[in-house]
Amino acid sequence: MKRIVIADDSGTARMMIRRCLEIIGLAETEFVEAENGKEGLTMVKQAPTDLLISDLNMPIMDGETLLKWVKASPKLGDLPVLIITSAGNPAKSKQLLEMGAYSVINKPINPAMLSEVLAPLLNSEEG
Amino acid sequence: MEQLKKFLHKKITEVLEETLENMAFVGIEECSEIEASELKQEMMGVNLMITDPELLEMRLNTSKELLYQIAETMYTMDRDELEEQLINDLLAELLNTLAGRFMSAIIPTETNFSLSIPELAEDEDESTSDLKYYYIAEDYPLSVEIKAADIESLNSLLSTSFNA
Repeated sequence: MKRIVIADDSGTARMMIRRCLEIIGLAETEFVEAENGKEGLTMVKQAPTDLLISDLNMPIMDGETLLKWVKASPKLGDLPVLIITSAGNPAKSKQLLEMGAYSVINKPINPAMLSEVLAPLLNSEEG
Repeated sequence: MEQLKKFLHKKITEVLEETLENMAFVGIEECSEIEASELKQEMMGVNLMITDPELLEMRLNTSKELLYQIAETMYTMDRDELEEQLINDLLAELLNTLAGRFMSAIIPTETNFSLSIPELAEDEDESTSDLKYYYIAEDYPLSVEIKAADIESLNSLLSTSFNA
């Protein structure tokens, strides 16, 4: 992956996600950080992006709205959107997956969780 | 009601242990209010509202020193490099993660829940509610408090969970 946008209002959460991605072998990736969904949308429009990772609960624009915008965009619709949230449960996850999220995982995250969930994307790049 | 209190105590302890272990490699031990206060630490607090399916408020109070130690580990930075904003953000994210795990652990799986954005507490923590639990991590105190707007309604919502 060449470029990953991480949208989360918590700098701590963004740092943890970045660290986990580095640990699973994505250290050479360009990480672009956004503090809310609106910034995240701007960032994914700015340059070709391989993955958007977003929290749900953010000020200004939440992750669910960001997902809707991305999936409604003809240019961005194929961009995988991974939701990492503390407010996730099976019902919410199902709803987000139906909206087009690539996957939904709950905080706290660790490298193994990210490695497992991103394996299909990373393997398809290698192939 | 005693059953509800025991259930909440057990669940909050489990998710706090899991959250701190996963985020910061820090273990916890339960302690009494007196044991926590005897450590005489400067504390920092953060609040978060759960607005759905029940109105709850959670507050996490943590020793400032513990937060600095966690931040040093997580950010691999020296103490003098850690800005106050980063410590505040860490505290907020700890409660955000804790509250999410807690709600997932207590409510029925098909039920959605909503969390507010955490806000740093500006007041001193002087509450002595029944649903306040004390812990020690790395020799520093922390506590978690749950306030329910309607404890009877919460009891009713969760009765299937703690009777399972």
